[in-house]
Amino acid sequence: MERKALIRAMKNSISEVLETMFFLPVDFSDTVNAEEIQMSVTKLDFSGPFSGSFVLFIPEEFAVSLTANFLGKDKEKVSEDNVIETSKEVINMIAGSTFANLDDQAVFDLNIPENILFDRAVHFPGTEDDIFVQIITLDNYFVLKMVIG
Amino acid sequence: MSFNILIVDDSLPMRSVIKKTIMASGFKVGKLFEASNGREALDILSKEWLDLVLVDYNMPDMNGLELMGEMQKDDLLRSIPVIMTTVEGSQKRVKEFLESGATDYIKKPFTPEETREKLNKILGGTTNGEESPDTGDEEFDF
Repeated sequence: MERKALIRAMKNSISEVLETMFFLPVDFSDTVNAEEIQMSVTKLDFSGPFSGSFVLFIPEEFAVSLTANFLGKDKEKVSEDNVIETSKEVINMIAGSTFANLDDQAVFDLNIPENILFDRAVHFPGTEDDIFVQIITLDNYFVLKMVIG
Repeated sequence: MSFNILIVDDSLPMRSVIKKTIMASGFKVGKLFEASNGREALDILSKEWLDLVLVDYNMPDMNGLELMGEMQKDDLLRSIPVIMTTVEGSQKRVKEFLESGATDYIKKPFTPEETREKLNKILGGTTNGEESPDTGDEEFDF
């Protein structure tokens, strides 16, 4: 699978999900922020014409805002479970849309997303083959990684 | 006439968003039930009369296709319209949903307008994006 096509499909799906469900305009950066801050990290494995996983890194504070926005709740009333479940839904929709954007005839099976880390500082571990997309919003950012194989 | 609707999705936030979308669509909702997987849904379906079921595809325990398979085995449940709500964009998968008994499907992410249009089509509500008159006598069961 061509790397450029994958990145384009990921970016299109991120815009589609964030703008449709969260009314959040987004932009993208080619470099990934290296600062260590508390993150909610969610992973979704997939299989199909090729296999791998998506990993979504959302700074904890932003994850709370995103969840409050999605649920129409005040930030103070958002629980940790709400944040985790919303992050899972975000990665689920992005993964589904990425594959639909890539090839709407191909069938990919998406596993149930899992939250693998909630409130610890993280780097963005990966290899040269991994695809990183940094998503910029008006006042924050988050990162989506795709690992193939 | 008010409609009893069941939302089946393992994601609590997504159930909440779908619920709000339905309520904002102007349909007269009698009872709104929620289930987090196919098994819970079958339990509700065995006890309550439903006018519409919205089913997520990808759920643990019993997924949306398996739930529809169980519904198809029952003469009464088979007649209830099912809308598949899914992140799946594959045309092959969509065909599989429709061949398995789904009346229609809504792809996530969705807009309230898309959802209202699908509900209108199935429940026979108003068209052209107009909302049904709200008489204020809805009975919600959250």
